[in-house]
Amino acid sequence: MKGPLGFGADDLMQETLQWQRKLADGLKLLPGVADVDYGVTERREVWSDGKVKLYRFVGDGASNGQPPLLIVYALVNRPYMVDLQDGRSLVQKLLASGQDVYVLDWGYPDRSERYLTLEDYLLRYVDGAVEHLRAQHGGAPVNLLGICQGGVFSLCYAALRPHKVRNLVTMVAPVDFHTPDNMLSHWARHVDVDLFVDTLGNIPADLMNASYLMLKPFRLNVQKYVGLMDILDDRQALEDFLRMEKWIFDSPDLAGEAFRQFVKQFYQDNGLVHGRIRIGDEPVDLRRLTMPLLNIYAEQDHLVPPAASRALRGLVGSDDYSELGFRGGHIGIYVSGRAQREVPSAIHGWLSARA
Amino acid sequence: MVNDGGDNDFEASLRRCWEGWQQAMNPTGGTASFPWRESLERWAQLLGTDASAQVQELGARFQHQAGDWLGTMQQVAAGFAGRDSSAAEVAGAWREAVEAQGDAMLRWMLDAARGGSAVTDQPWLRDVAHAVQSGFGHADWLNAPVFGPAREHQVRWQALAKLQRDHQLQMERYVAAIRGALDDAFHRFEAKLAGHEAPGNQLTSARAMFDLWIDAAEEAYATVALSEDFQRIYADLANAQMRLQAATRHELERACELLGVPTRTEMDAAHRRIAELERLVRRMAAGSARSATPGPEKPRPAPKKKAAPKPARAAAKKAPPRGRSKT
Repeated sequence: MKGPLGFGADDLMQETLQWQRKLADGLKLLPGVADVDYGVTERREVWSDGKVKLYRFVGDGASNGQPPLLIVYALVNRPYMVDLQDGRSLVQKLLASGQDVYVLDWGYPDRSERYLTLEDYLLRYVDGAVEHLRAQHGGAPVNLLGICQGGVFSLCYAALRPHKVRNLVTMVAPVDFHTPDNMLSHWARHVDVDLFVDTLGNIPADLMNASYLMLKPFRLNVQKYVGLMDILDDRQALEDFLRMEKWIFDSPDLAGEAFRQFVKQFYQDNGLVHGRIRIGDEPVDLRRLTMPLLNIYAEQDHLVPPAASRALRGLVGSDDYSELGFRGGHIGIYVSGRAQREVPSAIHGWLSARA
Repeated sequence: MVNDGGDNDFEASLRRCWEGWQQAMNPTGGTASFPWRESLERWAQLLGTDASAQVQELGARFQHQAGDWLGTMQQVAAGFAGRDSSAAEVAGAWREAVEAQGDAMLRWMLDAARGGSAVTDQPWLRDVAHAVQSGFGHADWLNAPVFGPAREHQVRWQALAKLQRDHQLQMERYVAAIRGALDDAFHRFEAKLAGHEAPGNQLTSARAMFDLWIDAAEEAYATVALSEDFQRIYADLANAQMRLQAATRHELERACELLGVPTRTEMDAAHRRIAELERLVRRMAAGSARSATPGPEKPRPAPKKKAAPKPARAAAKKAPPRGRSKT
């Protein structure tokens, strides 16, 4: 046969037969797959302010005596991604290495929280959690691990209250929002965000998810679900798939005012790069980030392009700045096998060297 | 679990599917089409009877995407299986098959542009807008001068209709941009197919064709989505949606006020006051804690390489923890 297609009718029939077998297997297996659970590590609520709660993860081993490690996650998804399931848990690995790990859970804002601002999120909630941890540890500063938008929050918070942060780790955190490959930022540039928030109030999660899916529409809406056929006969893989689906679409609505400030200052004005961010009345000066800083980015990240994260290098005041490029994407950095091997140990090793 | 009846039912469905497939692949089979979609539809129906809600939803997504896109690709592949072909022929057949289905295969993309279930983009509302735009069959009602006791109401309704019209226009621009990306995707698909014409580099399955199409489509889409034109189109659509939604809500609130029903605006005003008061209290508490502690908070100097900074114990005492401690 000449041309791009090197298969005959028999090959196509065999392929079809294989698909049908998968469908039949799936029909037997799928009804038995219960609603998936998530969160493998026991955790205890140690502090709260409104819906925002601080959890301490309970490990089997003893703490290595290092400062508590506070994970600050994004507002757009739930933080259980860091502890998704057995064997796919950043928290599990960090605990096993002796870190004392906490996570801040933002909860699900409702319309009564529409007027929460970035000042509330950083100087009320993050600071409240940090103060609680400091009070428990003799007033000593904490280690901060900020992920994605939580990384941006951590950068701002640490710049505003540098004496409260001993070491700062950021993961897939955007800093330069105007890199040419940042599709989300590209789209947001001319959106009238005042009109947007004044109209919607809180930003519905479904709307945000629709935007994310449109970043790679054919891969995320079509190919991913066609690929499901490959695992219809594998219960474990199906459960993993469903668990990930749950996390992706289990998204809180976003508090309107905080969204307004974030889009304007970060997405539209690229304020971190230009030094124009203000949280409440306080300017954020990244040069005040003089603590040791580890910046982890994902080399195939379609949401936060590597260049967007790496821009941090030239903006901070610390002379102890390290970067770690992870070979994977924005999601894989939490849950892939490679991530499990590389990321927690890198964080632990880096922190231990600065204990 | 699926009962025996369900199993048998699906096996019977598969047999019919298989027979249809064999007929489609038979040179004398005429134009019989491969019943992959029907097979998937039956599969999803059977799945729906016993599975959890989450699994059912997943099954529906799988049925939709695997049925539409993969099924169509398989149909195209069947047309060329076992015979000589060129990249242009295959890509042309694929374009024809996709375009023959109209908007059906792009439904999810258009839904996404509408923000999921936007209340202002309901079919009946579009019909009303079309009627309004055509002046209800008479003169241009939208721009007609208004007067009399209902003048102010009519002005608002005209404005609302204009916003609906503008939203439609922006949506059409958006859809045109997506169609442009799709058009480019067909060209890219052909180019990618041409890259597989060399012996030893041929595609060996319909699934491989499908994956190649996805690559082409994503590349084409990314080019459009990152363009300056699309940036403006996207923003114009979002802004038009919001203007329309705001005006629609305003009308609803007017109706609520007439009936004495509390409105969103009133609730928001109360929530704003509460948030501002809480913020004020927090600032006052922080300020009073700072004034109770002598000396300003100073940023720590940059540490030497690998030198651990000293804990700022003094600073830690300045502000009391807020919130509720559980330990």
